[in-house]
Amino acid sequence: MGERLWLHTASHLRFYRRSRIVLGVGLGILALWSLTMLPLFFGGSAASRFNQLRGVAAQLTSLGWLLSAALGLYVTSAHLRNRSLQVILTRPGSPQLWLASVFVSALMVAAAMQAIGAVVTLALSLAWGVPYQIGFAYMAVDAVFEAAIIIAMLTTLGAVLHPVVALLVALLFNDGTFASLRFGVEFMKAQGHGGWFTDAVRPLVIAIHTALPMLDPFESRTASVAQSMRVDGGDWGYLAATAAYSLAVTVVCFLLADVALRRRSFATTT
Amino acid sequence: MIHTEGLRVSYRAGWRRSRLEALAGLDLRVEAGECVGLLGHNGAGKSTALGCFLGLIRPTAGRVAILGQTPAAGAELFRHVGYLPEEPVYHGHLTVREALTYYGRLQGVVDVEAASAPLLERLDMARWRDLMVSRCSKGMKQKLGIVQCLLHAPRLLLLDEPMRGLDPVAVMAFRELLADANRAGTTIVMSSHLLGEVEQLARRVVILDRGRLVADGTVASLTRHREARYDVAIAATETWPPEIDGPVAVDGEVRGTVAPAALHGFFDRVRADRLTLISCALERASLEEAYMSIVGDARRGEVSHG
Repeated sequence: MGERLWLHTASHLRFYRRSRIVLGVGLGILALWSLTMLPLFFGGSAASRFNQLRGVAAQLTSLGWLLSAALGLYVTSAHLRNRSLQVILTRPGSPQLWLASVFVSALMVAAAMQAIGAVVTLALSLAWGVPYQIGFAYMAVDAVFEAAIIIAMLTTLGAVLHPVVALLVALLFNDGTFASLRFGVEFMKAQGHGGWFTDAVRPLVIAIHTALPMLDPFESRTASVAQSMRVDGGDWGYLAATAAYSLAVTVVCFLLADVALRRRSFATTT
Repeated sequence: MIHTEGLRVSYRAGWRRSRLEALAGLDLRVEAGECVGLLGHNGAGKSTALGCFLGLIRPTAGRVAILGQTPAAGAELFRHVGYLPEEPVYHGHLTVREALTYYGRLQGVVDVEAASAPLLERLDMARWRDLMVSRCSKGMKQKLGIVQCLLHAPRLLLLDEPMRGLDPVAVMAFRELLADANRAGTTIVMSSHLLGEVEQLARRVVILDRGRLVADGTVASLTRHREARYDVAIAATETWPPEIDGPVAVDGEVRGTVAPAALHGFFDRVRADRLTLISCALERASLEEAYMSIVGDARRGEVSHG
């Protein structure tokens, strides 16, 4: 089983490496990041170096997160569209193993991106003479767990929908939009506005908001780490809880994606 | 090797979601070592049947067993099955070598390089080993497909339009590979529109039409399905036996055909009139003619019953 999982994973990693779309998106994000980050490298005083380093680390984290987020969706959609899964499903090895390899490969890229970000941050801290805080590593690890959540969600959507529709659904139906909607509905109700429409919509909005996975479940509790880059004992607990939460979301998404794949036909039917 | 009972597959189609029957109760038994050609028009149900054999399509009703087991996606029984898909659905982001290693290792082949080298050589594909699959021509992808399905010396080969996109040399090489595999005991089921290819390879032919099995037998028995006639030629004469249908006088001969029932009468007349018989040979229907006539009969029967 381990060998088959690795064979699929290695194939996906080659797919990412050789994909012109991934390369193009990666270069585009890197170019944008460079434009915003370059001024930081050439200006600033010794006193502001810590804030600069924090800014660079945050940007690197976002860059890695953005690049890896849609990989699962991309590889799943590509294989479903060109029917190459036919070749896999007619060989020994459960389809779940192939699906697991999609999650694993995307997560490996996410981990690698965050590891590169952490190494760059460490190198800059040494170059600028800024004491390295463990919070930088903490934020990188936290970003891997967040990436796992978005990878799982998008991969599941990719097993059901066209990739563009899947991306639109992910953009519209996420924790952030429904948190704002919920806030708005609650506010209108508290103010006594809205009438029957608000009363009808409120339970639905609350239900969807509760059901939707959060990308950063303990954001408010770990905000101090993002600010000071210092980590105390309780913060490690939140990191462990984030890991457990992302694992739970991944398992649920995996099961949903598995059901979606089982319902698909992979054969030509003439 | 393959056993189906009342295999039915239907799809919902159109805005009315009306039911289309791709397979309407297929009963088929393929024994070990057979080489079976699956024939039929577009939409006859050939690829659907192969999809059911491979567990890619779940039957609406009926039973299918391959090597004694019900096939399902990713089942361990596929260790002994080779499948050549109709479309070249291979991993375009891999090179030919990487793709073969990937597929072969999944099948449990330890030394893929050694197993694939002779096959690639025979198909004149060895020099393209490091080419990306996405850059391969249609014929090259088909050759890759052939190698991947033979790589693990399967007990059962399921081939969907196997000669598609191949040049004549590759067709011959593939035909030899299939004949070798069949001689070594591999059971082959091939779906094809190229009746000549099927005639050369398969000993048994199964004809599907609109999801129904309309003929099943050896190539010889199916080509006898049509009433055979005799091609005859006699030396030119002013009057010729009335048993000759469509007589044509050409190059000092009179040629035509004689129905089997009229053959004795024809010979009696030749003897009585002292005519010179130049040739008399049984004209056998080709598989193509037999196929057209069987499917035509099936459809006429359908109309008259319906």
